Amino acid sequence: MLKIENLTVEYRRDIEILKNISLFVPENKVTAVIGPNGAGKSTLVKTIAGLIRPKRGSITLDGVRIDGMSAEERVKHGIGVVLQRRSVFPQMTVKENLMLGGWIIKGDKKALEETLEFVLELFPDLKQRLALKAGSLSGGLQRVLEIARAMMSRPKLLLLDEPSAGLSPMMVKHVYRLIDNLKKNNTTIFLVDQNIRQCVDAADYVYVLELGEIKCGGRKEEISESLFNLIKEWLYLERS
Amino acid sequence: MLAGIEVIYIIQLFLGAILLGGLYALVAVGLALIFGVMRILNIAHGDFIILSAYITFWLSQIYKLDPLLTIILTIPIASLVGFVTYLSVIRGLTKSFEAPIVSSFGLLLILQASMLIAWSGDPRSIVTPFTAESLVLGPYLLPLVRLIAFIVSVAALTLLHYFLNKTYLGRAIKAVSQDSEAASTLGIPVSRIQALTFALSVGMAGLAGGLLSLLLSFTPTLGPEYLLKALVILALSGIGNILALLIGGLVLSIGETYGSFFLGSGYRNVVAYIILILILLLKPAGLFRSLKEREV
Amino acid sequence: MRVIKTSLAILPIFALLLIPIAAADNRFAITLALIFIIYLTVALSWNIIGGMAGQLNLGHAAFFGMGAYSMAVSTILGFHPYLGVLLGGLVALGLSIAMIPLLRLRGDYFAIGTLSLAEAIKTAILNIHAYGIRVTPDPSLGLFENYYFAASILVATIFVTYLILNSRYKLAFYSIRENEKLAEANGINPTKYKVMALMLSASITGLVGGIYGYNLLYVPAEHVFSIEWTIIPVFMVLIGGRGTLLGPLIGSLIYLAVYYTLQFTITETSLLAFGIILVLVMKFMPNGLVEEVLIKRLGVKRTSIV
Repeated sequence: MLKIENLTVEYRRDIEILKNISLFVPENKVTAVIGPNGAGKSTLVKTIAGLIRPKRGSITLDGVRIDGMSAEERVKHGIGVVLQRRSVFPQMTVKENLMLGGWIIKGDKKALEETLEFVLELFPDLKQRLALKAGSLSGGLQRVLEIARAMMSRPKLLLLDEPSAGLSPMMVKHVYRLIDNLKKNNTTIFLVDQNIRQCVDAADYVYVLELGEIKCGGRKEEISESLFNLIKEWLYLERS
Repeated sequence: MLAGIEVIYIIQLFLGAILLGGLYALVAVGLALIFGVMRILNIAHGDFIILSAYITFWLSQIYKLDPLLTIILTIPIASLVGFVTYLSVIRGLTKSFEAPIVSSFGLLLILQASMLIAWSGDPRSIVTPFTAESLVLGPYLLPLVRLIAFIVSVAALTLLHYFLNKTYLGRAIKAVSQDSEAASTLGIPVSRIQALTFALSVGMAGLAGGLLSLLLSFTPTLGPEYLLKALVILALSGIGNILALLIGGLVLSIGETYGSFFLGSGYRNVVAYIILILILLLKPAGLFRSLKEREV
Repeated sequence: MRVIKTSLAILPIFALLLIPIAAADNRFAITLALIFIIYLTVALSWNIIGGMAGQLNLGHAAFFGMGAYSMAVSTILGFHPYLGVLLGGLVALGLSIAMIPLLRLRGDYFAIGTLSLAEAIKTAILNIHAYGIRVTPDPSLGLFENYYFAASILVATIFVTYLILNSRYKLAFYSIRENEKLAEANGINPTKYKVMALMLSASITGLVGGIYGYNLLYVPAEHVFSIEWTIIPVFMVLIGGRGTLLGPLIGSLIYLAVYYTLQFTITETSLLAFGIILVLVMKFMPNGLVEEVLIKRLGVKRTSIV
């Protein structure tokens, strides 16, 4: 589904955050990228989403090159993204937030209604809260709203940047359950997270990003050995 | 007896101020729109208003149309000017340091100088059959032009409120003003929304300028005075709420009216300056409560 | 290379000092040069607060006007005119101290606040002296003497700018300009430096305001508080390149070129030209000519002068 080849992203001239990355995100699976702080995970998500332009390399979605497109255009091609930071529209209601998520289908009233129903089924927490101002929701629910809103455009590929950040353990479990639901509904998921356990648990494919480079990657089962060693390194700072 | 006359006069001033306040709110709303959506302070805002006053003036002179009709015509012309300005000046400006504010300063110079060159510094105003007429309400007189300005302003503000809160496009504008990055991730075309907002803002300024041409005589250098009024209202009311802007407009108008009554007409604007500086000092974190600073 | 650069900088100063002698009886030329010197000095002084420290002071004209005004008042009170000029600088300094609370405001808000304050001061003074006040002149001090007084202020200002740019103050100012919070986190006290910059720029501007007013022998409030004493210096600094020494110098030359083309009058056409140039520069060369052309295109190295 998504092919990234030789991607290099710079920050302010000459500082390379991502160095020549290549990875592959298969359809209808959960692909996770893990790595220590500052590895460039958020940058990777933002670059795929179109918020950052790469210096070199290509990003191809279902055969279409998207790395030249603006963020808005990529939504039309099936990209949805949930940013790391709080990004609900705080002064608007939950329903208004969701409707804005459906911007690209706003012309078709019927499709919009159906999608809203569909999304509310996937995210029942929001059903009772449609009239509330988004800024008044708890952190966890805001996160749920952000994911629901991103789903309103029926994306082929959903990008999640640290979905568990700042959430209580119970909320983290809840969010990951929702993510799993999405996978079952034919959405390809690409996520980065610092919460290694949950993230790797939920994933089918895992890549490890360290200091801007992919250290290893592939099916979770196949790379579990090297994965385990790397994690040990981070946690105990021992070099093997 | 003396006290009685004074009270009537004071209430008369009050009524006149209220009517003017509606127009002031309209003056402010354009500035609020641009600042809300693009975080740019358009210093040339007042000059767009004056330019629109001239447009209305010349349209009514040349085509001998009913002044109210020309005011309506001025709106799309002003919006077009706004759109062109956005494309040529505003779009793609480095948000770094003060490029936007300096550019709008340059715009101010361009507009004022062009108007001076084209139409000289002679004061103009539009005189209509009803310019001197007033509606009589008991012992009070409501000048017709002010009444019209008030009604039209409030109507426009109400329409704008409806547009921003009940239509998809309006909500998209609000979304871009609350979080433009998030909006772009939903497929909302941020740059186009900004262009639209700029055009809309100058359109509002167009309406304000048109109404203004009925109310007083104007010269090309009058712009900054109205910019100041808009700034004071924005400082008082914030940018999120149109009703708050209306109240802010009323407050400013009342303050100015009584200020110049007690201090003399030369000090009319000083009242506004002082209010502004006081507000800036008392809220040093910035003017607008509803904005969250995303810095560092 | 160093010698060439330094002499390039010194030569114009020499030229400036020689003009009155070369021009002899041509009062018009000398006055023109005097006005140019004054604009350049105001530009360099604005450069300190606006260019180096990055605080967009749009009320700069207030310092100029207060300088001129105080000078005039002091001559009426019997003071020697040049003492009056110094007093003008002091009064402007006092005004800047009164403006310190405004320094709390960031970016755009500081710009509006200073602009409003300057306009308020202008309106207030217009209400007192609608037509300006007459200076009590000293017959021994004429155009020549005024010229050299102004020129010496300019030279001093150039020297001060050079000193700042070669000291740790330069980095302090630049870091405050780029990111105040970050500068603070690095141990720089932004308030201290901003106050210093404001006070310095105010005193210099007050001084030249004083000498300008004296040369005119008449101080009309509308003129000396006019926004053109803010616009033109800001223009010079931004066109040339803020925060540098060469920047305002080059900007002032460009201004002079426009001024000359428009036959030495500030009219609506010149305002139009300035507006257009400002917009174009902000769009295509936001960092000023010095940075964009000299450094990037011609590869001239950054030094303390450039």
